[in-house]
Amino acid sequence: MIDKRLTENEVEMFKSLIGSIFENYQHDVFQFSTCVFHNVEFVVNGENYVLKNEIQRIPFFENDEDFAIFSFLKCDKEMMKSSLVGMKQTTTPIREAIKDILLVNDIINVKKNNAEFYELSYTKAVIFVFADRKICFAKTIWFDEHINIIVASDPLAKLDNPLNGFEANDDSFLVKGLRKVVSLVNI
Amino acid sequence: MGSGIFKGGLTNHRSLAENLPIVEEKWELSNGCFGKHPKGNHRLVTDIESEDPIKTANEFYDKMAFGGKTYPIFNNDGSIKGEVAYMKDGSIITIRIITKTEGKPAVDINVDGSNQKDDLDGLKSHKIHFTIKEENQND
Repeated sequence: MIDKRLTENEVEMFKSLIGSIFENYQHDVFQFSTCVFHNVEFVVNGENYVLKNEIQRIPFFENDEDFAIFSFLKCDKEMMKSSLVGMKQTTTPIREAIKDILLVNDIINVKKNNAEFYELSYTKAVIFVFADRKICFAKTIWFDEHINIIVASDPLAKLDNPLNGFEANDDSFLVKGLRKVVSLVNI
Repeated sequence: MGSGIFKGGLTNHRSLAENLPIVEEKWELSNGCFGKHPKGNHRLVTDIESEDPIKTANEFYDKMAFGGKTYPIFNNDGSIKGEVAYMKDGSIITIRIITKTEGKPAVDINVDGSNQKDDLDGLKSHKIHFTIKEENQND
């Protein structure tokens, strides 16, 4: 199985943020949608973090492909900027305690001629839970480095189906998608 | 780029639906995708073959992204990696001149956020690799 979920260290870093004050998040100015390119920055308890959605080359069905993968790291102030030259950024203040963080992990299972053939798991979205709202940072379609920002009471309902974008090319493949939501306050 | 002038020197922001007829004059849209499916690959990954893949990729992208709000994408070493175009309907078109996949140029089409999906002739979000046309394909 190809495991492209957030790493244990990244999960621990997210978990360490629970109970802290989420001061603000920063991203490219929206361009006719709520999708922003490549990275979103957070300020939590005075520390700077960046969530990246970056291309990696991975085995994909019968070939290799460029697949955008989430990563999460602490960063310097200098890294708090757009990856696009000339793009302005905007800052959204939150100033609320983080009650929980949900990791949405999708698993794509592929059978070929009824035999196990390929399995990929990856982190589809990260959801910050506050007292009265949730803010979700979700990957768009697998090859795209944009991050969709969803502010809603139930952002899980707004995510696309785990199978979206994973259509097989011929009938010998059977593709199944499974979504698992991990609450970090409970692990 | 990023100055209020849209791709192609236009002063008006265009949606992808306005550009599709021009693109479809040259490249056929079949089952929601441009290009053909290489053997053993995925439904939403296609190839467009030509003698000059970089030229063809740029030509395709220029037509798709015409009137879009564009921003260049750079590598860490300062070299240009590609460009992203935001269309008025929320579609996003990205060209990568050098990809991690065998160095082939690629164009990513993301219409998942489009507010005009009904006007896109069934176009799906998909990825197109631009590859060299083999001379003796029947050998």
